[in-house]
Amino acid sequence: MHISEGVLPAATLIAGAALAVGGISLGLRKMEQERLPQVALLAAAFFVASLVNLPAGPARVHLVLNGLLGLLLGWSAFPAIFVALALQALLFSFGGLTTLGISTFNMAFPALLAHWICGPWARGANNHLALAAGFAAGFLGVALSAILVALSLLTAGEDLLGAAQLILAAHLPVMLVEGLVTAAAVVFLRRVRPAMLAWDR
Amino acid sequence: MARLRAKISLTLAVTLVTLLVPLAAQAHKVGIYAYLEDGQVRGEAYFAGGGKAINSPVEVNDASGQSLGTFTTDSEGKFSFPLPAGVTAPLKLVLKASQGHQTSYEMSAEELGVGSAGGGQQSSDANANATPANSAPQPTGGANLSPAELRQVVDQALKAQLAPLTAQVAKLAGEREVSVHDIAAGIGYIIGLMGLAAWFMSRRKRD
Repeated sequence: MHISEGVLPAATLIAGAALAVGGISLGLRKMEQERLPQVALLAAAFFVASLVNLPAGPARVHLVLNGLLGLLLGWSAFPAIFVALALQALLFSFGGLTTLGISTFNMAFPALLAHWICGPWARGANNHLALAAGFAAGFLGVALSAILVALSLLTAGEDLLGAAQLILAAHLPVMLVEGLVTAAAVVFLRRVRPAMLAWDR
Repeated sequence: MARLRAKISLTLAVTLVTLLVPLAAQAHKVGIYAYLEDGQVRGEAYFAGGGKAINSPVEVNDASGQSLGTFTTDSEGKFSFPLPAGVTAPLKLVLKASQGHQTSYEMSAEELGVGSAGGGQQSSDANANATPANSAPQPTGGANLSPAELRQVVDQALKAQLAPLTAQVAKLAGEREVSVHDIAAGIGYIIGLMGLAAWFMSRRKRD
């Protein structure tokens, strides 16, 4: 999922950075002080999740957790994911510093969509629907990110269908695992700390 | 206030757990390394953590920007190509693995043996006074070796001995595993940023 330095053309990098800056500033404005530890905790989880590797064909893929971040943070997923990606680039050499903007958007926008689409059901009264919504959020977060990464690579001249198929196929195990992880998190939080889920922004 | 404190302590507890979980996990990064052996540039492309980057193109350019061609890694992630005469060091090898992964490796003049070839010429120049008109290398008869021939034999033996070592050093130069320090540093930064944000927010509230 991390796009390396020197792959994408400048126009894509600038557009990605602009979108990321917009999302981050909105996310910071909507962040409340009481939620700060939650944002930091989930940023830390995103940061270390990239170290959990799964083999997938010729490449290796790792957990992303952006669906979970989106579900719990909403717009604040933007600053959380940005900080985590920056630290991954600096400390792990995952991805690059110039691709930080486009990568933030590729991960955080699907997170936001997961929040909008699955959030109401995850908070709703029906336990079964909440479980399904959690799974869908984890699954969708990774799937949409894979499609956005494929679209980004399209601007670098890679053929879209090939890249999209490859990335989606490689991330299928991650989507399933993330679906299960996010569903488990939703069920757990509904029982233990429903206030963490009741976060509609 | 008590609720905030409870939240922060929960955050710290879970942070510590997440810190301890991925110790055994591996990095996710592509790497490439190459070395010279018998006039062939040999190399390997891999994903940090053990996987090989198979069927991936490796673009090779020399320092003057001239392309030496694109080579594809085999089913074991290995590639090789003959080093043409007259290339200018450093040689740049760019691996383009799929899904936006890209990395490069530079072979310096020393690694390419361009420097040592020059050195060899110098030494033969210096020996020209001692052994003039020794153009054809004679069949080596016992201990009857000229200094230049001796140098050549030792040189070859050393190269053969050092080849595996060279490959290992090249691999080390291209690889950097994620360490516990990196993970701890990252989480430390996140906690620090949280503190910074909390400070700014509390000031905003008070004003």
